[in-house]
Amino acid sequence: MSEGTEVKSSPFYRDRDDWADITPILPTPEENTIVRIDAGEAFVDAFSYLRAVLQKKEISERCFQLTNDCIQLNAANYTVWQYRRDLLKALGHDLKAELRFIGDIIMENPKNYQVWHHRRTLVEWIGNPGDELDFTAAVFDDEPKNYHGWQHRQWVVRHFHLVGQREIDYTTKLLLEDSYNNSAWNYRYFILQLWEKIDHKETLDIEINFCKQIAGKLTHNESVWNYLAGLLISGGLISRPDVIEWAEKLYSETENRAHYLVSFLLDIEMEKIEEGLDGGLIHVTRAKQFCKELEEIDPVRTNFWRYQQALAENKHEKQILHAQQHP
Amino acid sequence: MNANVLFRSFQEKFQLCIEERTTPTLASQIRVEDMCQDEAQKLGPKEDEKEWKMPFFDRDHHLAYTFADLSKCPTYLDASRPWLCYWSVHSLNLLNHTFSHDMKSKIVTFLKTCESPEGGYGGGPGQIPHLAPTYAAVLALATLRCEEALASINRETLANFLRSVHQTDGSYIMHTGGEVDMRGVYCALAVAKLTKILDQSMIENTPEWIISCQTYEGGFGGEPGTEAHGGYTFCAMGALTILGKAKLAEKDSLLKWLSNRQMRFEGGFCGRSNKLVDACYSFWQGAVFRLIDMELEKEEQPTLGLAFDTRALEEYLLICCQDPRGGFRDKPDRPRDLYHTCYGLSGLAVAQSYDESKQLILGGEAACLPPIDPVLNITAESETFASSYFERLLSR
Repeated sequence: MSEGTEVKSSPFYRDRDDWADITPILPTPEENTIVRIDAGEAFVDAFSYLRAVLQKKEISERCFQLTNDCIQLNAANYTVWQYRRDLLKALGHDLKAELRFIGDIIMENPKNYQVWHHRRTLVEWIGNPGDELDFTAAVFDDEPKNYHGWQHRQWVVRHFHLVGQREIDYTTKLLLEDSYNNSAWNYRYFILQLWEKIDHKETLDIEINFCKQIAGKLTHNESVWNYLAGLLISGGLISRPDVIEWAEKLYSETENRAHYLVSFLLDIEMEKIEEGLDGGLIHVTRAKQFCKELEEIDPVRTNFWRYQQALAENKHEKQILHAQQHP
Repeated sequence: MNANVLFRSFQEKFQLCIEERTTPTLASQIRVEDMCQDEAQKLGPKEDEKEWKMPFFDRDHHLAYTFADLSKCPTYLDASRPWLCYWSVHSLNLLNHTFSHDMKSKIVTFLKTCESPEGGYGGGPGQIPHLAPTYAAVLALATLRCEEALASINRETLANFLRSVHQTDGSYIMHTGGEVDMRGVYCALAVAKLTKILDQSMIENTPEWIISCQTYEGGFGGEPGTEAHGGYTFCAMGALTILGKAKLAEKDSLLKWLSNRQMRFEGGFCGRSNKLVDACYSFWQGAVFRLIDMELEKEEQPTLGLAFDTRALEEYLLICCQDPRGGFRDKPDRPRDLYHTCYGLSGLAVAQSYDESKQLILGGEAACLPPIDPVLNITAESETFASSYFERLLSR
């Protein structure tokens, strides 16, 4: 809802016979000492009646209608939404109709916490996932990184156990359109975790291959590097020599090296230092070389790369100490 | 564009690299880089001049804008009025404004009308209590550095409200019947810590819940499984710091993700991987470096020291985010507002905090802001005043 929009169709509540029994609660001077609401009469009128019926906890059809007006005036008022949910339940309204109502409001206000929470609650009450996947897909058509939308889709899939290949395919479709869509990568990871496939060799092979195809061409795409490293969290990067080999080859063949690629190789060296592979020292030297290169190609993170350099030495010393104590 | 020797940001060689075809993400990134470059170009020498102009911190206009916007509230923020108070008074405090007695009293009077009989604060009078405006109200009151303001907080009912929204899994719902996310945990713990009402019943399972939101990228999402995001990462690390449990976070991946949020061309921070720069993340991301350092110090590990490119961030804020009429904006094509003014200034304070001598601050002495507490985001002076007030209250 854009700022200052007023409801034209309904007359002021103060002039309506069916509301004559209610004394509106208007703002007091104390309530307007600062941050005074910059609103027209219709806004003040509707909300002063809302406040009055809220105070007496009235449950009625007219109150439900009043929340319609108040939501049109400000869809971010969580008190109105909470009251509306209380009314919906008490009055036994059709929840499917309410779902259509909230769908329209979300399309107008896709970045509002209250409207998405309202939708989640309704779907939970209805007890089936209905068209929720299509609904979020429509939201992503406009804004493929809408945080609330992804959060909602995750909840639907988890709550109704909808995890499966269809969801993976959906992210593949989005990533082919825009492989820089980090929300889609995150969702893919979420699905694999929920599906309990993230540690399966077969899944890892498919996913790593998918990453290689994208990262091999788009080395400056952070999302794919993060996803690839994320796949190997439990085993470590060094658990996959094939990935190391691929990354090394990419490094030696690429001229305009993305810092994500060099940083990926640095992380591999860091793991080797921690594990004390080859005595460690050779990997400290290589890590330091990568840090120097990163300072050159990615100067905005110079301080971070210098810290990494110190960390490489630190890890090496710790590893030696550890090896001495545990021969 | 000429070789731009003056600035660390806006270097042509660090513009976006398109390796294949363009995509919606790349197209919007190019657009933003172009508009930032245009802003930098405005400081370039005109016909007869040789020198580049240094960016100027427009303190007077920022003060005037913040003051003007404290008087009125647009309808879409009708359920966030304590936020407007906090964004304004914290901005004014950072700008070294001295609040008159009359102003303090108006703020205290108004916020008291938002306090719920059940405890905590609503987004406005007559609204049910909600953790976000509760946080904003308590921080606005603490910012004022006056006993009357702190005494106006009903700590007993506040504690009841916090317990009522704490969930058995450790998370917090924002209000009765409301949504769960990381903001809730942070807002609850921040006010409980400051007013010294934090107890075990408020933090049962909370550290575990927070950690369950750290993602494979290293940052934190709003709920378990959701995408790593700057705002939620600050909330998570702020909450863990309050609990003395920051060591539970996986630091290496967090630091890497965090460092990668600084944009190599624009100099400012973005909120998530492959998203656009936005002034507000100057604080949300910038402050987390400070929180990590606090933890490293506690663990007697080598600290990060200067952890990100503070000069590049100062350049983004001063060159691209100041509205010529005062106030800060997300990026050059967005309108100014109090939210971005508050977090732009707060981010600038974080960047400046690394320069203890204050000799190298962009914009010179006129741009110099006071130190802030990176956990709460109020000035260190306000934090000390409030903490010692509540300390005395406890010892009575």
